[in-house]
Amino acid sequence: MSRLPAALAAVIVLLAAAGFFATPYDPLAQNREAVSQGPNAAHWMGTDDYGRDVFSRFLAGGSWSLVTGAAATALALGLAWTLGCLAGFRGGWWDWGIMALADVFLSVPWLYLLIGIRAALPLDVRPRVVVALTLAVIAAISWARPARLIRGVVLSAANRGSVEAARGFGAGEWHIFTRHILGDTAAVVAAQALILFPRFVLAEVTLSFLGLGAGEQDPSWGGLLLGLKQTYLLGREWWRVLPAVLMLPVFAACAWGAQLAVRRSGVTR
Amino acid sequence: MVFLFRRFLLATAQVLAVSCLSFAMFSAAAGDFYSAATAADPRLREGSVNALRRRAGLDRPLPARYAAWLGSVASGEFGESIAYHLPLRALLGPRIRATLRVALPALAAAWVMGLLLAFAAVRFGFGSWEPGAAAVALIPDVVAVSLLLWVAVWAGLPTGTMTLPVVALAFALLPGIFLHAASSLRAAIRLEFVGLARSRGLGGARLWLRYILPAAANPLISLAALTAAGAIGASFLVEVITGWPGLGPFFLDAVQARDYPVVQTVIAGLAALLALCNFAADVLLYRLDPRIRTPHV
Repeated sequence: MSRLPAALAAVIVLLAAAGFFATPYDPLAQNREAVSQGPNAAHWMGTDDYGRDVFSRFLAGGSWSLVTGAAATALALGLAWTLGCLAGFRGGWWDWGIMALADVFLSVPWLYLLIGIRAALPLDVRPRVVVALTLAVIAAISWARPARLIRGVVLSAANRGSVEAARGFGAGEWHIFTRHILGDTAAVVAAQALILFPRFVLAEVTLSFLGLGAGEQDPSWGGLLLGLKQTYLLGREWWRVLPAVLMLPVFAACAWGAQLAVRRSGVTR
Repeated sequence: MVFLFRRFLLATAQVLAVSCLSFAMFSAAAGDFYSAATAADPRLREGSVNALRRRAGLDRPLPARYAAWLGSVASGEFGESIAYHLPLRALLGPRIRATLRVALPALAAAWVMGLLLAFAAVRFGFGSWEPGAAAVALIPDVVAVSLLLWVAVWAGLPTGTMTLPVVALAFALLPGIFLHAASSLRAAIRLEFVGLARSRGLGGARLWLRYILPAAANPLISLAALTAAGAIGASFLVEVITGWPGLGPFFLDAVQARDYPVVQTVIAGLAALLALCNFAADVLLYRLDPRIRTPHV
C-alpha cells in the first residue's frame, strides 16, 4: 500500500528534474513550420499555436509548478510553525493576537484572497520575480490553518505531566521547548506538508491560468491549460486536452500520500 | 445569549479588520488605476494624471479615504469604481445575482447528492469510496472545470446556458461534502445510544432520521457555512472559465485594471458574507445543541 505513493513521488521528482535539465526541445523555441500539430513521433504531445513542443513545455512548466509548490509549502509551514509555537508556548497576549490574525486570514474565501493580494503587487515584472512573488503570496495567505493546528499540538504537549515535572526540576523554558515539545510538532508538520503541497501547486497553476503568474511564453501548467479555454478548437483538436489529463496523476498521488500520512500521524485536518 | 452576543461582536470585528487590512495593503501597493492607464497611453501627461487622481480622491490620506469608504458603505453605495465612475451598488447587484443563480442551485445539488452518497457509503458499507473521493477532491478545480467544458463542447451540448456552470460547481463541491458527511455519519452510528436503539429493534428510516442524523448534524451545520463560502470561491473559477457574467470575471477585471475600490469592497463583502454564514451556523447550533447553551460542562 505505501510503496505506490513512494514510487509516484519518485516519478514526480524525476519529472521535475527532467523539466529543468533535459527536455526534448527548447520549451521557448518556436517552429513556424510545425504549428498546431497533433501528437506524432517528433512531438509526443503535439505543438501549440507558435509551433512550440508541448511535451517540453509540459515538463518544464511542471518543474516550475512543482518547485514553486514545494518552496511555498516550506515557506508557509515555516511561518505557521513559528507563529503556532509562539502562540501555543508563550500564551497570553501572543496567543490572543496571533489567533485573532489567523481568524482574519481565514475569513475571506481562499481564491479571492489569493488574487486580491496578488493585485497589490506589481503586475508587469520579470518571470523570476513573478515566481518569488507567487511564493510569497501563497505563503502569506495559507499559514493560518496549520498555525492553528500546531498551536493546538504545542498547547496539549505543554500541559503534560512530564513538562510539569521538568519545570519542577528547574528546567529552563528553552530546554522544555526543545526537548519536550518540539518533537510533538513533527507529525502534524509532515502531514500538513503533504496536504498543502498539491494545493500550492494548484494555486500556482490557477494564478498562471488567470494571467497573474508566469507570462505567456514562460512554460507553466496554468499556461498550458489556457488551450482548454479555446472551446471552439477543442471539438476538432482533441489533443489540446492532453496536458490537463496528464496533470491528474500528480494530484492523485499527493492526495494518496496525504491520506496515508494523516492516518499514520493520527492528526486530522 | 452571551455566547451569541460575543460571537456577533467577534464577527463584526473580523470584518472590520479585513477591510482595514485590505485598505492598508492596497494603499501600500505599487501603482494604482492611473499608473496602469498611463502605461497604456503615452499621450497622457503627468499633470493631467495627477488631476484625475485628485478628482478620484486618491491623494487624500489613508484614514480619510477609509472613513469615506465606511460612510459610503453605510449609505448603501459601497464605494465608487474608478473605472466605471459608478457607485458599486449599481455595478455589483447584477453580478452578485448572476453568481447566486449559479452558486445556490449548485450548493443545493451538491448537498443532496453528498448526503445521499454518504448515507449509501455508511449504510451499505462502501468504505472504499472514500479514498477515491479524496483523490477526486484534489483534482484542481481549474482542470476539472476545463475538462468538463471540453466534454460539453465535444458532445455538442450548449455551453452558454447556466447548466454548465451549475454542474461544474456542484461537482467541485461534492467530494468535500461527501467526505465530511460520511465521516460524521460514521462517528454517529458508533455512539452508544444508537447501538442501544438498534438493539431494541429500531431500524430503517426512524433510526436514521430521528437518531443518527441529529447526532451527526453538529459538524455538518458548521460545514454548511464553510461550503457556502467555498461555493463562492469555486464559482470564481467556474465563471471565469465558462464565461458566466458573475462576480468572478468582474473581480478579475478589477484586479487587472487596479480598480482598488472594487477589489476592497468585494473582499470586505465576502468576509462579511462568510462571517454571516458562520454566525447563522452558530445561532442554529445554539438552538439545536443544548451542550452549547450550558456553560462549563
